[in-house]
Amino acid sequence: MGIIEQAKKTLDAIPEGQRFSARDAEILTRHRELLLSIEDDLVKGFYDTIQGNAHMAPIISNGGARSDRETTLRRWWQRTLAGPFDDQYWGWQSLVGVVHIKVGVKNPMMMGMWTWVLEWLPTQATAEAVGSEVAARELLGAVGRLALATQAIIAESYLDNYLETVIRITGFKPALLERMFNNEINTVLAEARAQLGTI
Amino acid sequence: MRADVMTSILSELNGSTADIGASAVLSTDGLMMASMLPAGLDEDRVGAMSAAMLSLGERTARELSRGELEQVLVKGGRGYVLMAHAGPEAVISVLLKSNARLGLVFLDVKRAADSISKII
Repeated sequence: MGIIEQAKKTLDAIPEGQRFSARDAEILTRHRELLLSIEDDLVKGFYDTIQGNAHMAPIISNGGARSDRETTLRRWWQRTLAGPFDDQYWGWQSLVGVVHIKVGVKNPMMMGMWTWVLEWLPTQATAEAVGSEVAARELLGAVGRLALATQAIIAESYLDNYLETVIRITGFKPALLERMFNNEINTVLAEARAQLGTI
Repeated sequence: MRADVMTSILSELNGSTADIGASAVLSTDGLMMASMLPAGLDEDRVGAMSAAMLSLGERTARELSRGELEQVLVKGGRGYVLMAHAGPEAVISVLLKSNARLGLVFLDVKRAADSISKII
């Protein structure tokens, strides 16, 4: 399955009420200038948080100078807001997941930093800045669904790409991997329950 | 019907020499199609493992320029496991005793694989 199809499949699996919508795209487009204007603070806060974390800090230093990483984040933020939010766009977000695998960014780190963005954003996208309480709520809702979509796509792409490498090396058919999984999952489940002492 | 014919081929193979202890036919994605395996063996696992081994063997033969894969042979302290294609979509997997006369068994297994490939 190609990267665009993979991303589309993930998006389609998100319940419709929580899925990023055309209206969310319109809201983000309407407030793009505001979101771009907070880029400097976003980038600083983002990397201050990462540098303050013992697990994440080494990934930045392995990937070159902090300024290089900041440039990458700036590009990501600009591209994330640029739209159009079409299949190509979600395929690109999936590609970000592949880059994460390569540089060692784990899903809990990615999701943690998305949460940091979502917790920080209300301090910037205030009613005064956006125009009204309703507009601020709408914007935060749209960014929240963008975050969900991106996290889902990247997390799924992480697993899919690991499986893809196994398939490429071993030549296993996807149906064979599926069968192996189905054969073993009950054992895995029983062992997990035994470890937790539950029935 | 087809499974019955395959079982009959396996039965004949198992009876052809005392060196063969058990055998099975499975699809290349690991689905068991017919088997004459000892009780206690998990058929689903045997199917998946055999298909996986043959797939790895194929990939290894190709990457290391050994030509088309003919068979995969695993030797353990208590005998062998022999896997070979039975047509493009099926695998025959055979358990052998540790003192098996491999040359003869290879011929018998090849004959059985050819017969199976004709009915798949």
